[in-house]
Amino acid sequence: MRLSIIFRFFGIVLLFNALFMLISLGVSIWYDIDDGAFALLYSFLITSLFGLMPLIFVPNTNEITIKEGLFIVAGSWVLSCLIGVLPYVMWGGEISFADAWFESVSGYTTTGATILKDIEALPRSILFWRASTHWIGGIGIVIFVMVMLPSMGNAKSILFRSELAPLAKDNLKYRAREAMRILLWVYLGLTFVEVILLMVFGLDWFDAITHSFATVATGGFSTRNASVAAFNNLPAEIIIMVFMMLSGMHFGLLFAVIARRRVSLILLSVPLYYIIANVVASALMAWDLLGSHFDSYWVALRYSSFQLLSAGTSTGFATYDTLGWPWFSLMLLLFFTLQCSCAGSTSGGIKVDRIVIAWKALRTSVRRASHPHAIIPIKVDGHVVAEDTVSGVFMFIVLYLSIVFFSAVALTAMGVPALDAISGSAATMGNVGPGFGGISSMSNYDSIPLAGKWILSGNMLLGRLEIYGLITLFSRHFWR
Amino acid sequence: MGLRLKIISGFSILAAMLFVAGLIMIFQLKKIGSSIETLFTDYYTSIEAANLMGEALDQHATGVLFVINKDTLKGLDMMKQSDSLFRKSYDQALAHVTVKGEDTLLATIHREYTLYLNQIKQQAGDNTEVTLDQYVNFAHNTIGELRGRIKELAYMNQNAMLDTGNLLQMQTHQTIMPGIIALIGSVVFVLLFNYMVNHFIASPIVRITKAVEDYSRSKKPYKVAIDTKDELSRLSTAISKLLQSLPSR
Repeated sequence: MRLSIIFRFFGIVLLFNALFMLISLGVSIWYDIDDGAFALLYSFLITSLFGLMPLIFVPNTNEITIKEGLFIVAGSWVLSCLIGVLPYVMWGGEISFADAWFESVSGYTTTGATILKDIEALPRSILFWRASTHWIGGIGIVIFVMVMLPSMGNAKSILFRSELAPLAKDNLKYRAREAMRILLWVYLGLTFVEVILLMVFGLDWFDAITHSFATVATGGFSTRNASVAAFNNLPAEIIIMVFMMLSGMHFGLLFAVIARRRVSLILLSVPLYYIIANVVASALMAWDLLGSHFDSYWVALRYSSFQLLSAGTSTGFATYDTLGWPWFSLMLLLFFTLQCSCAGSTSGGIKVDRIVIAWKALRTSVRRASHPHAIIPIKVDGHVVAEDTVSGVFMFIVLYLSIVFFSAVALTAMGVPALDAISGSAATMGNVGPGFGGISSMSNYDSIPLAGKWILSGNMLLGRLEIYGLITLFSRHFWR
Repeated sequence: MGLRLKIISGFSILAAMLFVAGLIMIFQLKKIGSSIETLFTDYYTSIEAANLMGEALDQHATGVLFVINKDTLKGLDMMKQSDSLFRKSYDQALAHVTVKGEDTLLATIHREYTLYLNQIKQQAGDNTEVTLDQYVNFAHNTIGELRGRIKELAYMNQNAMLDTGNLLQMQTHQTIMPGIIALIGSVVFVLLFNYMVNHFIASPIVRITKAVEDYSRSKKPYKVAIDTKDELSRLSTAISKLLQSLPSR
């Protein structure tokens, strides 16, 4: 591996981050130079200067190897999280280095889990930076890897192997450059439209932008202690729900439906299952909560659908505290926390595509058992799914659940209650954010021990990089 | 980019990092100085003024009691002195208004104090004939409320003092952090800069030198690939052309 080439790409990533620090500094100036100004100014300078240095020395190159590509992608996430710590530690407040790292990783990986007890105590500029990390992270995971694609050769298949569900193939018919352009435009378009709509329905520009960043990136950082509930604004809740739902769908599919008017694509197995599952589970949760928490079914549906979509799209916003909700509702939320949304979106989790493939594979194996001599391929929407794709899906699911389980065990060893440990591990691994119990939708991760915060930060990175992206770097074969 | 500019840029980046860290630290220290000044001059003076106002009020009430007890001269003298102390302290508090709502509170104190004095004047008139019952009836409530307001003024400034203390703690953190980050950043930067200089400047020079030596010693063909588009790649190309133009011995 050529370190200098890697440094050059890291430099570009740092400059991209520095740009958002500069914008956040602009927000500080807009609000009469608030307390975050110096923290952002110095963070901007450090980040941009470190970013510039490799660009000065290392000549430009378009040729990189697969290993270099993988290292650049994983390294960029870790580096961004590290540099994202600067504004928090420089500002101070209640934030220690471990807390700042947790907050930064949570921001970039679009998890939305926070250690902050009083979010509103942060200066607006730092809150803007916090929301920006979501937006960079959301666009980063989709676009940055795609930017790498033209010069990565087979790395494309390594990175997206688990995501090459039949639905994803539809998107990959585009050339990489075209695919990148589509994803970028969908991302920008969704953000822009949501900002406008939220402003029309009563949010000021600051809240509209920060909440749109967090929605479209399926992040979940709010600028309020009570999250979206603080606005008590039903139209805004509906807008956020719609955009959470859209952001959890395959961006290539959204583009095809909106720009190419291929509405029938919605009826493919993955998006159809995604929509129906969310609607049915919301209705069931509302029924479960009726009587115990709400007197009216529609009020129950308002809060249950928001919480379910928030978990099911890995966003993590809240309009109601799930603390004390019945176990059936919590189990539904846990399932959607593990599953999350579609591949090719900004969301985390196991992803609907893998659930659909796993389900079809299980059904096929039952049929194969009844007809041992028949050749029955696994099909999704008429496309045959390759056996190695299916085994990759099962391996991913097993690995994913194992990590959730073992990190939960580690947390319980530190004295964290079982409910908090299991839900916290699942919520951070799926980049959802809030769990249940002491870390429920209106609470925070402050109570988690220091070592636990590091484990959960690791979960967030593993979840965001779809496990293999990060653990590959630690394998001996990679470094041979 | 030329070699000279590359090296200058490297050192400039390091200098900029340290320079801005220094500037921020100086600015923050100045802010800390200003906070300490506020802490001691404004808040402390206001708390002191509130205490004196309370003392003056007690003294005034004692004076009234002396008057009721027919020790008129002593009582009137005490009332006069305490009034003077109250007004002086009040003016002192007014001159150091810093907390939000402090001015409104001071205006209320002034209004209630004037009301209290007027009540004394109305009841006692010029003959200062006032009974203990009359005093308790008309002045006790007013003086009680006034004492409450004065205490509120002191608490207000004490809380502001506490907030400023917390702010000072935060400002100290904000002063130290650029230094720590500059320190860590400089170490990382030096390592990185060292790598870059070694990889893109020193190493090509070593390779060019070795290739020229190999040529002169054993006529080994000169082949040095330099990726950078700077003086070193031009030097390598020039040496290559020069060696090609030399007549073979």
